[in-house]
Amino acid sequence: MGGLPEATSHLIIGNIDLEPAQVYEWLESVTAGLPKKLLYGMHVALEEAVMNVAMHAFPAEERGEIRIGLIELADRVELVVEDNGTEFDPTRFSASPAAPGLQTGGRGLTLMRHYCPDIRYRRAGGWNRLRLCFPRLSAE
Amino acid sequence: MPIAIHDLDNNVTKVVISGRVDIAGARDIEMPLSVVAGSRRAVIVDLSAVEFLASLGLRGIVVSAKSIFSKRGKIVLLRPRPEVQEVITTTGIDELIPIFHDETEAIAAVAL
Repeated sequence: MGGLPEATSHLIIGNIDLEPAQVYEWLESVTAGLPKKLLYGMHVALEEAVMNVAMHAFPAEERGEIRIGLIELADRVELVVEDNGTEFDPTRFSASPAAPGLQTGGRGLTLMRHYCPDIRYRRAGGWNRLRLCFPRLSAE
Repeated sequence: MPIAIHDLDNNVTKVVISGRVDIAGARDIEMPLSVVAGSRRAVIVDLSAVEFLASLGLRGIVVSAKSIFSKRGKIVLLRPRPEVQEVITTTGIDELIPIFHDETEAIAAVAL
């Protein structure tokens, strides 16, 4: 139920006292050795996913839990973002909404999908579980 | 400070942003950027020292651009690194706020 049995490393953060540097430092520490270009895309997609959860998954002032995990497989690396907030499936939104122009929001999902075309979602036991799957690149 | 503001000749203002503009960085640049946007009409945002930029940082830049455009002013982006430029072009921001890689050209583009 929401656990990360297969994750090789994970980080548990709160939605309210979210410290972004902590997320980045964790990502950097668990992805040592991965190509820089892949790491940048992972960082953008992870930040968009975490920010989305922190800003929208919980009613104002309500304390929630966000867990981030990394799973390394032969053909891909997965970032898993789990939260016990409101059900939200980002994969149900169209691939790329029309360019938002001067609107101030709406770019997070576009960026997440650009860097991570393979996004999987599951809701189980009151938890959202989002898997951002990045194929291992042979280049670099 | 991840943001520095320089007044150039001809009423052009250069805003130099540096470091990681993540959730925390976006918070740090929001206020100084909005002050510049509220008081200047020819603005260059130098991104050459930005290591990371995602949607929150872009949001701050877009909010400023809106304010500058509403005064018939001009704003351009200068010298983003390739990975930062990819974020900008993916979201289509460059169609609204052009990217320049040469400072003289950037100044010419915003000078009123």
